[in-house]
Amino acid sequence: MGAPSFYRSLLRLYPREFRADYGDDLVQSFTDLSDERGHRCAWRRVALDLVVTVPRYRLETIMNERHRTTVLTGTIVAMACAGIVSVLVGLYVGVVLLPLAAVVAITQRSHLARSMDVVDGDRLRRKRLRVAAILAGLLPVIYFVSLPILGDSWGADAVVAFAIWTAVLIAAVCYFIAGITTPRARVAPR
Amino acid sequence: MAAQEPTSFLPLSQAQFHVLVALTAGDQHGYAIMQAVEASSGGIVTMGPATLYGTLKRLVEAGLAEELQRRPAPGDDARRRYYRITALGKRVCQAEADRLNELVRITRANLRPGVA
Repeated sequence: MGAPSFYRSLLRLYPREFRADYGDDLVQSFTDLSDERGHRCAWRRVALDLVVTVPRYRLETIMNERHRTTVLTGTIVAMACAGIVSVLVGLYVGVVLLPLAAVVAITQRSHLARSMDVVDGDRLRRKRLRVAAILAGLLPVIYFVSLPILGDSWGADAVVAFAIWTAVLIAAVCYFIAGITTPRARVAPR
Repeated sequence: MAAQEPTSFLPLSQAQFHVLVALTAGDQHGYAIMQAVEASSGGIVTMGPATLYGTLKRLVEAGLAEELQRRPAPGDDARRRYYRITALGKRVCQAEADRLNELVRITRANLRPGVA
């Protein structure tokens, strides 16, 4: 394996996007360095370069906008779900988690909106909020339908009804959060 | 959209400033920029390929430099990508030079004999 081929294989250490964009240019620069200054000088320079830039670019990829958005959305949904489950099982921590999830979603909505690729924000926003409203409307229906099977003791039917009700509640909250964080469509400047 | 203030990009990192300074001399490909940076810094600043292209990526994303779609001259290497400093890049480079110039002035004034 030649030096440029070995260097190319080391480029796998970099994030895929950076490698795809600049892989050939990096190898070309390494070849130029080798031709002009010799292998030893070229390797000395790229070795230091690798040590410094690989962790940095990896970290930047992890912290980039889209990834942060995914983490943020996941955190909000997890907090909302944990809050709902806590309330349902009678833990007071849910009373804190639910408003906290809403506060984080609302305060971070501009950040979430900036990094979302939404073609028609208004339409998607309306759709998500409509689904949230329908699911929220289903909650009392499910409750009253399952009332006859909810007795003093918890049978299998009651557990299933409770699970369905909880799932619908969580979905309603998730759609509501997704709805309020969906960016509004921008008006094109005249 | 309002034009971005050059000062909003300051301070530039050492690598970014060196690359912009190299591009003020004309359109260049990556390896030529590496050589120019080394020459302009008297050999003190030596960039590795990944540092250089990471810096170029940031400059292009910030609108301070752009990749040329065509080669600057017919004889130039077709395999290489060439870069050019943008008008905003020139203003930012000038603003950074002014900032450093002011810093040099303060340093010289403070280090003058007789100043505590």
